[in-house]
Amino acid sequence: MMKRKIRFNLNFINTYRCFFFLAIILFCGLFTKKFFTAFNIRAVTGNTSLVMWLGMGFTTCMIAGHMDLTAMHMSTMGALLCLGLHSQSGLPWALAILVATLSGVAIGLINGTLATKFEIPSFIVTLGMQFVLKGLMYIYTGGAELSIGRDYAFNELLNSAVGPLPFSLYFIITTVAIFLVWIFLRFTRTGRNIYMVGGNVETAWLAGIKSRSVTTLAFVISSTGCALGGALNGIYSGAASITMGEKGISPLMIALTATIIGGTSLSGGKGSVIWTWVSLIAIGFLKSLFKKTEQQVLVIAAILIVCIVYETLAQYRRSKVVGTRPNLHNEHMREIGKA
Amino acid sequence: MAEAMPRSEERYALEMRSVSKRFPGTLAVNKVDFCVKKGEVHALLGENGAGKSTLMKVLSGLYSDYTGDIYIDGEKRLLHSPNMAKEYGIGMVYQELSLAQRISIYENLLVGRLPKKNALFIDKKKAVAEAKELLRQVGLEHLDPTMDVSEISQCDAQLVEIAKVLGSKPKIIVMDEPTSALSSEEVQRLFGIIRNLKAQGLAIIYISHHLAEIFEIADTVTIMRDGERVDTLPISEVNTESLVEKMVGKPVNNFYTREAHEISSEEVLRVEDYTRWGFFHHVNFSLHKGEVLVICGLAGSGRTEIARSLVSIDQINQGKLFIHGKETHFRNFGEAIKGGIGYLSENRKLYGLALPQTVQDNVLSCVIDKYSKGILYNPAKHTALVQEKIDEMQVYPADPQRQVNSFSGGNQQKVLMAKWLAADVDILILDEPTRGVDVGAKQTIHEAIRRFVKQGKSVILLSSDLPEVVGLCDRAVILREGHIIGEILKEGITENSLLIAANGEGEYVK
Amino acid sequence: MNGAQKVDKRKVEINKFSLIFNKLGIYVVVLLLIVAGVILSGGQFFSASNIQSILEASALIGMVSAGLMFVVYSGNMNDMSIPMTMAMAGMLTVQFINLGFIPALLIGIASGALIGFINGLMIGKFRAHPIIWSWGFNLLLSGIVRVVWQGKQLYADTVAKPTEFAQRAANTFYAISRTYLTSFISLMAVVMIVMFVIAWFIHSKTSFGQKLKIIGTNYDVAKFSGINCTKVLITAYMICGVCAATGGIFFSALRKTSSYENGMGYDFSCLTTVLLGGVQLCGGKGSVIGAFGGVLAYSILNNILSWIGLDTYSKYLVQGIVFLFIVWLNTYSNRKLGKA
Repeated sequence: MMKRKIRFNLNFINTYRCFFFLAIILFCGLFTKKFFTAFNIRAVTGNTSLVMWLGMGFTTCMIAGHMDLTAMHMSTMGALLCLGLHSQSGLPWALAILVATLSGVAIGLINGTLATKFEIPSFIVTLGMQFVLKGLMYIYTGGAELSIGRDYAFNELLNSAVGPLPFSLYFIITTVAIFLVWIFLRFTRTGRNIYMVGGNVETAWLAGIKSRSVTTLAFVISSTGCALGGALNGIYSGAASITMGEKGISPLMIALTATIIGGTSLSGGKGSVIWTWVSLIAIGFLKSLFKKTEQQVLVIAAILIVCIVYETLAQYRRSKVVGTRPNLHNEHMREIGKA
Repeated sequence: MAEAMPRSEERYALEMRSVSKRFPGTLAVNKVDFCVKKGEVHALLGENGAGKSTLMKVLSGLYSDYTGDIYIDGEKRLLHSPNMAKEYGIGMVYQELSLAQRISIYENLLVGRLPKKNALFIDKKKAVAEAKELLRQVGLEHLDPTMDVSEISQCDAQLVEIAKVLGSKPKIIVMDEPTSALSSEEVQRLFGIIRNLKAQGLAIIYISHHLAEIFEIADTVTIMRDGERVDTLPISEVNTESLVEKMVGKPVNNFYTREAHEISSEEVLRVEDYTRWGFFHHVNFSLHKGEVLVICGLAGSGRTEIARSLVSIDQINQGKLFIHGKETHFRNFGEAIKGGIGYLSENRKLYGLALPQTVQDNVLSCVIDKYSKGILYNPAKHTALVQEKIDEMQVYPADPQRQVNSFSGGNQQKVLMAKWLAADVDILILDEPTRGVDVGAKQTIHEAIRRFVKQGKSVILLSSDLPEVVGLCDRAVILREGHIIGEILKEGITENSLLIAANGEGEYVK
Repeated sequence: MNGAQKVDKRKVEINKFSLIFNKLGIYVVVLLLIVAGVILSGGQFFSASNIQSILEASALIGMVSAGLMFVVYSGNMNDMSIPMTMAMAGMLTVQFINLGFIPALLIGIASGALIGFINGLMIGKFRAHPIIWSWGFNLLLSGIVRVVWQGKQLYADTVAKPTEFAQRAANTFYAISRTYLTSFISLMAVVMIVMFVIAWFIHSKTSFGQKLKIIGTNYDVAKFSGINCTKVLITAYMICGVCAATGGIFFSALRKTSSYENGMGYDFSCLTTVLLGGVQLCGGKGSVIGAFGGVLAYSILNNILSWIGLDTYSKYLVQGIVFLFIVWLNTYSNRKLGKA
């Protein structure tokens, strides 16, 4: 009896681990100086926003049972396109952002087509696509860092706090976008189909769902989100370069960590962009607990590895008992009860 | 073959008229007439390979190249895709669960047709209510439809599967072995549901190997054998013996008989209190030198699990294994092979053969350690052995360097058999060694088994193919629900006695 | 009958197709590339300095690919922990240079073996997702390396104590990447070729290679043939780890520095060479000789791209497209072959 109770609690903790994770980190924050200041909160949430877009994309693809490694490069490309088109080609912001976003749609379509129609493992497709994007970006920029130019109005707008809240406008936009994606995934038929395809392609097919288009849509959402997020991030931080994210801990790794902490199933069909979002806020604050990048990397990696090991071992244990016959299971329980 | 059923004035829910389906090499379904009335539970019986699954697959729209006519509610329909079948009111309850594990119950129930609130959003409230109603129909009102399927037990999942089919408002429901994952109380619950559906005027096609269930629930039975319909009878006109006789057909021809030979009393393998919790409990049996022992049981009785445990692919929880009288414990399958036990698994594609590799690689795959010198291993040295074994098994074309996936199914199975002959073990466990192969390959494999035991080696045979069992076996132990419930000696083995005993009835059950 | 004929036709088609790519066809590509190189470079392709640079460029990638080949061949797609295995080995070798050159070298290689062991255990026994696991493990290693050495770069000559013994060890360490046996064949290239010979031997002459073939084709079939999959996969990952570690040591000797960034990008470029060499992404098909051809083709292609005058960065584009094309061919021929 006792044992069952403990197991239930563990399950509960495991299901909502991202919230516990956030709570623990905020609790640790109580003992850290300058943690709960408006400045710190605004900085942390603002600086985590880019990764939130990546996390959103990565999670969406993972729900559909795929992996999108291009997320990071897509957002860099969005930023470069947006800044380049505005400051060098003189397009208005709205148009520049639109073009950047459309590039995301295009890359998402290519990724999705390669992964579904040509049946190449998505991990491999996007691994190769990373380099294609990198090459394209170098050709566009010549490797130079692009800056926002003289037009700081938009940059200041994105950086400014919203009302009395300790959040920047950029973070608010990000959050709203992620909630929109969440609503799409959770409450629309197409969104539910993404889950269904990730959960069991065959069932989805038998039920008449066009699994290829649905999977491609997941890639498009991911790439588009990353490109848009990258574009906004470029404006928010005022500059962008290809080497963004190559120093320190790769944002893509943070996105992966958050996706897994958030409880998204490695094989698809389960997960929520909101939980990834919560995990990312937690990771953002976690980073501000540690001053040194090295420590941040180690702690985040340790958490990631613990989650992967836990999932793997749980799966391993489950595979040992799958197919148990209910009659015999009951009989065994009775025998144990006797003994 | 029974004469064709006349088209009566009475409106059938489903009429299949001289439906045939040909696979390359075999005629799986041969001009079958199959009619189901409304409000009727119609059992479809037959041994494995009799064609009932193929017939039902035709009905569910998985083949677009069947011949013959299908009428649903008196109207001629084409069933060329799963969607068409669904549209015409045919609901399939699949034997393997087709639910998405990590998705909530209500979404599984309403997959592809979630109700919408407006142009954009799904109406979750309505969906959950609808799901609740469906669950109520299968007696699962206690389940919360928002739970994941992975959180509920396997038997509940089976009932959810039925609820999912009900949700598409079918006129005809096909249930293929729906009780294989259910405990006896749940079977009763399922029967309650079926009676309820019957009362609503649905036609139910029920496929099961468990004859007791058929007598309890069915109104009419149709028996199939070798792709043809043998007979259709009201349940009141049959009993277990007559059903079994019709399924099995005429007395076996001498194609299957084997000459008597001496079986020594020397025990090569014995298990005591062999238990893997939840799969088989307290199993005891022994195997003699030169004997073919059959573990006879219905699908899901735990025989494959026993075999897997004997060769240490799965570990047991308690019990002892004696090989040649010595208590033995293998840590893994590799040790078991060295210890003289081999296991030919039931699923050639998943567990049997590495299809894109050559015959030679496959045949030698279980003896790599045996034939390697230190770390060195040269497969080319053993080509003669491979050639000998595939010649013995009459694999065609007998080319050891040919890729296995370029062979026909029967020849692949022969390669698989050759692989285990090459392993040179004393005890060979054969799990459905002739599943889905043509007659010629079957005969070759049977001859190989006979030669094998003639050399003083022993075989444990797990097979659903009753003529094969009768033709080959020296003794049978009856396994039912993970327990050994009886034993039949050579003299008593007939197809009828095996089938009756496997259903837990008859004189041989203790 | 009709159906049977249809099947046969399909098989013939496959054999033609796979002949082009699966059977050492890569050397045809290598030859074509050499011809293209000679034309584009205006005859300077065969100059000693160019051959030297091709061999040097291929040496590091080749060392790692020789090991990675086993992981790809075992059906686990890619080992994402290669970059940090390389970095870790470089760091450890430099750190322990005071013990003497050989002990330091052994420590570096042992670290690769240990990383491979852990990978093999998680993936081979507990069936962790090979990509996610090795990727996460890569991050963990990077965290460890960064914390232990505080994100600093290590230089062998500064780490070494000012004793003559230690300094000599440091100099030997630097020298391994700069030794030339003849005017254009460097020690690195020789080591790479030796490693390929060993890999070829392991792959085609030992029982391990044969077992890996069955496992790579189908894990469950191997398990049901009595093959100890855990042991074999651990060995495969250990070989990969040792090769990556060797590559990492030569890399840091060549760069004269060791840091956590040392192996960056090698997971991708080595996977490209292995796939280019005709090793199937889904496992069980391919040869070491092919993989060697893949390494040659990859380095010659890079060399040609420099002759054309592409900068490092535009090369990414070409590499990415080549990679996608190779992968497409790979899966396409495989789908035709019908793996399952």
